[in-house]
Amino acid sequence: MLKIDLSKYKKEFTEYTELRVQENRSTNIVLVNGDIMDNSSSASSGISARVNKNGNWGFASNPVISDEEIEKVILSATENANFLGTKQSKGKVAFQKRPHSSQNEFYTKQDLKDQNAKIEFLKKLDDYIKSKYPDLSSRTLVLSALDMEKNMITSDGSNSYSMIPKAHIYAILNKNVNGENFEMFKVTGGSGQFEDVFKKPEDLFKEIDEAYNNLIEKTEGVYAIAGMKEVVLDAKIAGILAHEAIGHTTEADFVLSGSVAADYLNLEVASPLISLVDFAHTFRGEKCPVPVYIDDEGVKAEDKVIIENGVLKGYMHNKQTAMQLNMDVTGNARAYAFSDEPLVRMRNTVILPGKSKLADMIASIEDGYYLVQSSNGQADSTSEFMFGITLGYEIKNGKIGKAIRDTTISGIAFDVLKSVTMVSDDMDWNCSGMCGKKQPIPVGMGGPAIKCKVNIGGK
Amino acid sequence: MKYREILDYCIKSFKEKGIDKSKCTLDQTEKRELYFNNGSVSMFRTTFNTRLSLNAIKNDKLGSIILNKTDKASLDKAIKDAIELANASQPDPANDISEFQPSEDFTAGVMAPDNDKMYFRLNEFLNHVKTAYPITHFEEGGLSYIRTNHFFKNSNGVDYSQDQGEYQFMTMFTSKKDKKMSSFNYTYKLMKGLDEKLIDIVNLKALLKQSAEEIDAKPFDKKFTGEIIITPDCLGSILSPLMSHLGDYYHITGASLLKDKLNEKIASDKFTLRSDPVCDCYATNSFITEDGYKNQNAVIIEKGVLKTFLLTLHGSKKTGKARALTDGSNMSVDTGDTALADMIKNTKQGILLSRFSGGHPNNNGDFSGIAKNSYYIENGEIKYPVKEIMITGNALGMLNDIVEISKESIDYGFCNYPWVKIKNITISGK
Repeated sequence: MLKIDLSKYKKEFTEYTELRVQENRSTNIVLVNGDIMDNSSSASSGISARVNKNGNWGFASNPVISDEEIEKVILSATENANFLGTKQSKGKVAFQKRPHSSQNEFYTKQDLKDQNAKIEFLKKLDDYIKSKYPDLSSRTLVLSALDMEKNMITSDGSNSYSMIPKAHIYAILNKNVNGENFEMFKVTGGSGQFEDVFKKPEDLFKEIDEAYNNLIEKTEGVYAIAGMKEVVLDAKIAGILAHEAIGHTTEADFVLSGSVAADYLNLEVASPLISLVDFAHTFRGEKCPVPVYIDDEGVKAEDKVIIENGVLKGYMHNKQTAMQLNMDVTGNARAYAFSDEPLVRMRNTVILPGKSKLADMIASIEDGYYLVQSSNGQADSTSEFMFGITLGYEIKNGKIGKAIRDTTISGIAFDVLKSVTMVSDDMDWNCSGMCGKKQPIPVGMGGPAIKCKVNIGGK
Repeated sequence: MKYREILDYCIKSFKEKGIDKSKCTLDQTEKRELYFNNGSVSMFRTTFNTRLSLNAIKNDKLGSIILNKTDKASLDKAIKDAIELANASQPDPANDISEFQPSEDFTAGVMAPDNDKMYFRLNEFLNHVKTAYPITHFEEGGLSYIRTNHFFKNSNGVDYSQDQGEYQFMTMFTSKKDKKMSSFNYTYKLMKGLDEKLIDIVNLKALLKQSAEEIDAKPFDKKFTGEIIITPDCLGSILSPLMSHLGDYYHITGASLLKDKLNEKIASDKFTLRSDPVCDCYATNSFITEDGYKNQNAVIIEKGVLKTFLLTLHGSKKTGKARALTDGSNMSVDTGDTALADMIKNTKQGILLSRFSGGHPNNNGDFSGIAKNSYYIENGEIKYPVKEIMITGNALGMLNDIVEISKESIDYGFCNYPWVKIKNITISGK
C-alpha cells in the first residue's frame, strides 16, 4: 500500500536527504486461562525525512501521507538542520556513496486468516493445555505479529521497498507447589506472516509438552551454587550472548563513545574456536529471521564479520560512523517506526557452529551447569553481561542432574569467549525479542552450544 | 473534524452499529528533540504523531483498534474493524467501561518549547562536562520537549481531556582512560522549565564523578551476607517487581504474592510508598486513568501496611477486588530520619548500589543480578568502586529487611526516591 513513487520529491532535496514512508502493523491476542485479555490490531504509518547540512542533522516526521505533507516534512527537516547550523558548524560531510536499489516483500501467498481464525487457533491450543495439564495454576497464550513496510529514497541515488513480517506465539505456564509459584515459557514462530508461520495448533503441542515437562522439573529444582562455574550454554542462549554481550560493543556508535571493543581491533578477543558474524539476509543459502537487503540510509546490506577465529575484525556502521572511523559502510543503519531516525543496529548476529557434539560437551564437565533458556539480557560497554536463566540443569560427573531454579549468569564477554573450549556443530536461530536502543527493533540472533566459564548467581 | 468531534463521531458510529459500550481515546503529540553524541549536539528533530484507540464491546465481547489517522475513511474502516474484532472475540463480563462522571479538562506543565534555550542549556552542559569530567564520554542523550493533548470519551458520557507539556533530559555515559573504563551509567529527569543548569539536576554531578572513579573499580573476590544501600537512581528498578504483583496480570493469573495481603504488614514500618499522579510537585501528571476515571493520589504502602492493589476496572471485575483510585504513576518513597552520611557510617560491610542489572525476579520474588556502578563499604567507610559483583535476594522479602531510609531524596520529575538500606543480601564476587 505504500508503493508510491517517491522520486518526484527529489526536487525538494537541497542537502543530503533521506525520505521514508513506513507503516508498522501489529496484531496482539492474549488469552489468560481461556479468557481473551487483549484482542487488538494496530497500524502506525507516516513519513519522515532526515537531512544533513554541514554535519548537522535535521529530522522531521508526520503521520499524514500526502504530497503537501511530504514536501513540508522535507522542508521541516532541512530547517531543523539549518537551526543547528545557526548555532554550530561541523564542516562539510562526505558520506560514502553506494547507490543501491532493492525490492523485497514477504507477504504470504496463502489466503489471509481473519482475527476469528487466529483466536480459534489460540483457543485450540489453550483447550489442549487445559485438558492435558489440569494441575496448572494458570496458562497464558500470546499471539504477537508485526509487519514492517518501508519505502524510501535518498539524495545519493538509493531507493528501496520492503515488507518484512514476523509472528510468534508465547506460552506461559504456571504451577503452584506448596505455596510457591513456578513459571515456564515457550516461544514459537519466526520470520513470516501468521499464515506462513503457523499452520495448525497441533504442530505446537510438542512444544507445549516440553514446556510442561520443564516446568515440572523446575518445581523439583535446586538452587544453583553461586560462583564461577564451568557451563555449557545451549544453542538457544548463544544467540543472546552474540547479540547482547559482544554485538553491542561492536556497534560503531558505541565504539566511538568508548566501548571496550575500540581497543581490540585486530587483536585476539576470543578462543580461536569463536567466529561471530552479523548476517544481512542469508545464512548458508537460507533466509535469515530478519532479512535486511538495504538499510534505512540506502546502503546495500552486507554480511559483517565481527570476530574471525578469535580475532576482532570489524564493527557495524552507519554512514556517519564509517566516515568518522574511515571504514566501509556495512548497511546496519535501521529505524523502527516512521518517526524514528536510523541508528546502528544489528541484523542477524550469530556465533558460527563448531565441530563438537553437545553430548560430548556435557560429558566433559565434572561439576557445572547446562543452561538452556534465558529470559532477559543486558550488557555493558565494558562487555560485562547478565542474562536471566529460566531453565538449566546441574552437570555432575559428566551427566545431567537436577534442574535448577531461575537464576542469573554474568561475565565479561570477551573473557568468557576466551574460556571457550568446545563449540557444538548445531545451531539455533531466534527472532522473538526486540532489541532496545533508544528505539526497539526486530533482530535475529543465533549460535551453537558453547562450553565456557561464567559467574552464576544462587545460594 | 476537531479532536472531540472525532471521538464523538466514533462513539456515535459504534452506537448506530449496535455496539453496547465503547471507549475512545485520542492523543496528539508534538516533540522537539535535541540529541547529542561525541560531546556535541548532533540532531534536531520535530515530530508529530496521532494515536487513536477505539474499543468496542458487544455482548461482553471486546475488539480494539489502534491507528494514527483521523480522516473519515480511516475512521470508518477502524470502526468496522473494531466491531469485527469484537464479533470474533469471546464474551467476558469483565469487559466494561467507566461509569458517568462530570466532564473536566486538565492542563499542566509548559505549553510551548523554547528551542534556543534548549540548545543553550544542552550546549552549556556539554561544555561543562568536557572540562570538568574530561575522561567521561556520552553514549547517547538528549533534551526534548513533549506536548500531548489527550482526549477520553466513552459511551457512558465520560468526557475528559488533558493538555500536558514537559521537558525531558536523558544522558547515558561511560568513562575511559587509556584502556581502563567504567560501566555505563545514565540518568533521566522530567522538568517544567529550563531555569536550572542541566549539570545541577538530579544526582548527575555525583554520577559523573563516580563514573570517572569507576575506571579503577576492583573485581570482588568476597562472598558474604551484608547490607546494600540502594541509591535513588536504582530504587525504581528494585521496586518494579512489587508493582507487578499489585497489578492486573498477577492477580488474574493468581500468581501475585500479595493477593491475600491487603491491609497486612508486608514491609518495614519505616517504608511508605505513594503514587501521586495529580500532584503539582511533579513535572508530569496523569489526570485520567487509562480505564476512564479521574486519577487520584493514594498511599500504596503506609508504614509497611499494604493499603491498595493497583487493579484497573478490568482487573477489579476479573478478581472481585476493589479498583485502585490511582494508576500507580508518580511514585515516591517517604524519606526517613537518617542522614545518608550516617547510613554509610552505620554500615559494617556492604555495597552502595547505584545500578542493578538483573534478571526478572521469578514469581516468588527471588532475584539475582550484577551490582553496577557500585562501591564496597566496610566499617562505615566507602572503600572503593567494585565490579563483577553479584547480589541475590528476594524482591518482596527485602521490604521487611529495610534498616534505614535517608533524610535526603531526589526528584526525577516523575518519581521521588531516597536512599534505602537493606540487610540480609547475599553479595558474591568471582
